[in-house]
Amino acid sequence: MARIVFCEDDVQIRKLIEAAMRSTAHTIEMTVNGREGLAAIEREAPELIVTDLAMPEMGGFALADAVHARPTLNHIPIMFVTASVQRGDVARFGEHGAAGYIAKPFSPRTLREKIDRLIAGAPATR
Amino acid sequence: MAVYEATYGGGQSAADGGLFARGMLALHDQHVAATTRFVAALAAGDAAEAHRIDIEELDPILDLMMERLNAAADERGVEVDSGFATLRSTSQAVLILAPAIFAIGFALMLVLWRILEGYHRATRKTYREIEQLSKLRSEFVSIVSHEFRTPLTGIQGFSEMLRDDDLTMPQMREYAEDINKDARRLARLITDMLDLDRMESGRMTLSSEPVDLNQIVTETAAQFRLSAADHPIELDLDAGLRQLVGDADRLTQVVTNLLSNAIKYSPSGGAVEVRTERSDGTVTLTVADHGMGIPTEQLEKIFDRYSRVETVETRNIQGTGLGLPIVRQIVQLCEGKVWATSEAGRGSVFHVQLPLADIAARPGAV
Repeated sequence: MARIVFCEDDVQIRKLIEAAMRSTAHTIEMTVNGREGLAAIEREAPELIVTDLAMPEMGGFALADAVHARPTLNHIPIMFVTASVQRGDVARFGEHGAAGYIAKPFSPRTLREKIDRLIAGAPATR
Repeated sequence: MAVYEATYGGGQSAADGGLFARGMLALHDQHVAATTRFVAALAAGDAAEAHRIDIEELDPILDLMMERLNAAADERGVEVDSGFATLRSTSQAVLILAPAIFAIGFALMLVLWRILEGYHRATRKTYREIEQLSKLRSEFVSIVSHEFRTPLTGIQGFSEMLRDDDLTMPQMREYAEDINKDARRLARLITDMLDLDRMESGRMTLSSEPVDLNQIVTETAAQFRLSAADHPIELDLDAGLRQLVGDADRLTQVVTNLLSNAIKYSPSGGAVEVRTERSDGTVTLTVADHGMGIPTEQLEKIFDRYSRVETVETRNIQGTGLGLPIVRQIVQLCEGKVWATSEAGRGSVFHVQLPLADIAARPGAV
């Protein structure tokens, strides 16, 4: 059982994530962009952050950098939800301190598995 | 002095030169004698005599002296002139030809340099264009993959949950509806993208047929009344509007996209007003909503691809980000104008102005 903050700007994917996480014991906090996400992270101090990359106002990379710049938060693992994994992207995820990533379209089960592995402290399989 | 001698005998044989000099000297003596008498006559007050001496003696002597001098000069002149000519041609060669050759050479080099520079510039320009195209292409690929993967995520995710999870009937229906929504979104995205691509690359030709804009508005509004029953759509159509010549399908697309936006960005129950109005040579279509409005700085940007206004209010509104770019493309193909006005919190008005008569004459019309 863990607290997870999600950042996702697309309404359908937010709904999918909520539905996918309903069967788990985790508490989820859903936000719509990095700025809202950061506020929720500061408030909740979650065990995991799952964020989309392309979002209005504040994207996933900016959110990750902001989290890592805060000593009280920089231990929280971050997983990126990415629309495309192109050459060089994985290295860029690493530069922004990603503990793991999941590419769209994803299976709800894979999402749950990766989340559980990250919460258990193991790096998510690629 | 040398020239004087060359001309008047200094450098010639003693006999010739002496004869000429003696002759001149004799004339000079006569001139002096006549001048003496002239002065004496003046002193005696005999003006008539002085005048006679001047005319009859002094002038002829001077004339004669000038004549001989000129004759001698002519005689030697050939040599002098040819000397000058040689000198002149040599200096011409040096002073005129050399700079001319230099100038021509310089000009040729300049031309050559310009040509090479031109090639270089063209190459650089082509390179920059290719670079730009490649950048646009990768941007496009990344946007397409992002835009396509988002609805695909819903389709894949909800269908897997339908398959794997224990769901109640209402949940199943809900997920099926979500899958359907995402599938339609994907289909619309593909259609919009292809349409926009064909328009922007000039491959879309509009048909020219008699079009009744009022009828298009009425029919499109009727469609929306079925699908968005909670939004009253009020029509205020100019009965005096005569038929346009244009592409009915594309004009329907314009009305559909504007109405769809007006409904999407209005609170439930918010009325949408559609007006047609004929003015001097143009017809104006306006679609007004009472929604959240558009920030002033975004009024132009909203017609660009994928530049939806992202605010707290729009976060739950879905769109392809291509509706307004398509409207702008169609209106531009019709040689019309489209723009938006808005008052924050009070709603937005989209204005489409189309030429009345010119549509038929539009180049590229089929």
